[in-house]
Amino acid sequence: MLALLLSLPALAQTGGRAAEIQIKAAFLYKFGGFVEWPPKAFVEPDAPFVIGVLGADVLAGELEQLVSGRTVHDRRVAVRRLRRSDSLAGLHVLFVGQSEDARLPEILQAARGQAVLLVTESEDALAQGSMINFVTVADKVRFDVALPPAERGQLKISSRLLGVARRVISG
Amino acid sequence: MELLSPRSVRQKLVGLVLVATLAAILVAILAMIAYDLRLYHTSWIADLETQAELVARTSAPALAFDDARVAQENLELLRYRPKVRAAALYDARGKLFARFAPDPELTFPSMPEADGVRLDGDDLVVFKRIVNDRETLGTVYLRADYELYDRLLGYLGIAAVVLVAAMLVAYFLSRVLQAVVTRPLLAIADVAREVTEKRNFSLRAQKLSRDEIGMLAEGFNTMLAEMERLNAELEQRVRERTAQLEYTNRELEAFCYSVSHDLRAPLRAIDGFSQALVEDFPKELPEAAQRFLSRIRSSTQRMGQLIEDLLNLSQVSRVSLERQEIDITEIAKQVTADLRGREPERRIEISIAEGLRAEGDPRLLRAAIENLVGNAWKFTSKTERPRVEIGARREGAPPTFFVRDNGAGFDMAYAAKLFGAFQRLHSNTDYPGTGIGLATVQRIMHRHGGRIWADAQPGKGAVFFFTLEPDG
Amino acid sequence: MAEKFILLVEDDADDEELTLRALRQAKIANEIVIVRDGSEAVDFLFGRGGHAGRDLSRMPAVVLLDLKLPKLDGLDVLKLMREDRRMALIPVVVLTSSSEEEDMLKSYRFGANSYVRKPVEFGAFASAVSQLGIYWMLVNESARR
Repeated sequence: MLALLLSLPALAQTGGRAAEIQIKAAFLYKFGGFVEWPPKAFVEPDAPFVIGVLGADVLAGELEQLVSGRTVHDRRVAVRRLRRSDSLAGLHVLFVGQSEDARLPEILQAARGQAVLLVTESEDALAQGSMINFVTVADKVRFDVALPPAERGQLKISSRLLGVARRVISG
Repeated sequence: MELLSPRSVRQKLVGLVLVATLAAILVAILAMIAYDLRLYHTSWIADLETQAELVARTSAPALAFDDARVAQENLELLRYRPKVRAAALYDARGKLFARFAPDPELTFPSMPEADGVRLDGDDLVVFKRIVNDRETLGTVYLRADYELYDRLLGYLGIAAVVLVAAMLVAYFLSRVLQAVVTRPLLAIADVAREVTEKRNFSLRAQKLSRDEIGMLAEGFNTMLAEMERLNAELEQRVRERTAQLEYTNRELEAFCYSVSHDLRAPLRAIDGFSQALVEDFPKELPEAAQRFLSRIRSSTQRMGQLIEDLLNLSQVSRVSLERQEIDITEIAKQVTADLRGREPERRIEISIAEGLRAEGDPRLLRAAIENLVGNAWKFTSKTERPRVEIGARREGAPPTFFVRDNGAGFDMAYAAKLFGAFQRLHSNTDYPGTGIGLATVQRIMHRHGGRIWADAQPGKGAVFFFTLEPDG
Repeated sequence: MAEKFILLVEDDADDEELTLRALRQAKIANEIVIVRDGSEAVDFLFGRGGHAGRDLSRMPAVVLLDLKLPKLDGLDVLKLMREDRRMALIPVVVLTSSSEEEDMLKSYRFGANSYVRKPVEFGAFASAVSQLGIYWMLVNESARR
């Protein structure tokens, strides 16, 4: 079942929104392994790795299933569904779904300078301050990376991740 | 140079060095080859495993994020490692994700295997799982040249050349250097050979080195000096002994001379005056007295004969043997003529074979034949048709001569006594004799190196065989 | 011509008697002069010593010479005889009991005319002597001096 989830690329090529969500959920989980958070991001040694999801309930559900029993940086992974007004504190990754496009600028602004990996799936999101933006190219889920916001948030994105990104903006 | 059974010390030394060199070099070469090949094997495998690890790490993102293009680019970096003939990435489900192979004919396994390295034909094949955050993302597959056998062959080739070169060097070096050991030894051996051939004990060996061989030379020389000394001593003793013997011989000769002269004179007086008694006083002397006188006379004559025979016997030993070509037939004829002359009335058939020749002393052999033929003559005196034969046996070497008669013969049981001095097998009344004759004949034969033996039957006759040379 | 006589040189008394006996048996009636040793023989022949003043024109017709003699040896007598012109041609018969070949050779070499061995048996001795006597006395013509 897990293997199946991780070999989503094949399904992605055959199309389907469901597949796309699964792939994005998988990528979301995987991003964590290629990014370094500053020490202050983890208060306790056994503090979990928290992925917040805003405006993408289906994806959150997928993600919750995906991360059970898994780790990122040897920490257990927790998924938090967020409401509009929730604070970003304690998050390590924040995914803003397409449905929140309109509010995207203010969300990104609020998260500016924080050690939270901002992942979006909207056009021009990078210009607005997102760090990783999903794009679909030729029926395949790819992503673009913007380095300056990550640097502002003291996040180090591994060059290995940059290697598989479609586009990297380095400021 | 005979390789298998060297005869000289030189060859043995050189051979020894060559064998040792060969063994040492072989051991060294084989050890080095084994070490090197093992090193190659382990380090190549380590290298490939490391390479697989590197590919795994760099390809992890591509696999994680399903970027086949990036994965392909990663693999193609391996073109800078020509020894890597092919590489592939399998995804988490075991499906071929990316591949790289300059040789289009190469095939890729359809499914990845467990982690590990194995030999596949001439290549090494490596599988390594890609793990990130305890997740298996996929498997790396590498196929690389495995050059162990080529290296081995190469080394063996080099080894062969090196071996030959080394052996040549060893051969020439040892040929030159072996002289250090063998020259002093051969010097001794040469002297030893000369001493053996020429029996010259005054030679000495040169001491050319200060090792055990030098000691051998010294010991050898000491031995030679001793032998020289012993030889000289021996010769001195021989000279003394010979002088003694010659002196004794001369004394003996003088003794015999006076015996022959002085013993006979009184005998002559006894005999003569006994005869005078009988002749001058025939009437005064009774019959018995005359008989007694006659017995005195015959005893005296016997004694005279005894003296004669004893003198002959001693002469045989004293006289020096002169070996000449002698005609035995001729001697036998002369002896027979003498006998006939003395007893012309005797009717006896004597047959002498022609052409009997031998080498020996004419005087001694004449005496021997006189004795043998004389015996035959004597012991056939009572035979009806006496016959004496003198000849030689045809077969065998040395030639065996014989004197055969058909006279009284003797019992073979007493044959051992035949040649003993003073031993008689017949009484004096039957056949007169002193019993010394055959002892003399035997001594004559022995002095020639030959021997004499007899065969006989009582009443049928006897045959005496003799040789004048040693058997065989 | 003076009567022929025989010179007998013999040291052994028995041998002398037996020789005389043998000569008698052989009917040799000539005078026999006997000397006992070699030096007496030489004295007689050369007219010296005990025989000084002998008539040297009277030489023996034959000399019977024994070899083993005291004082001068028989061969020495022979040698001396042969060296003197007067005696060089007198027949000498060597009578001896020695059977050594050496003696015979020497005797002949020194000029003996005959060499006779004295056997033990008297009969043989007698015949040997008589043969000599007959030969030398009756057959042989002494050389004129």
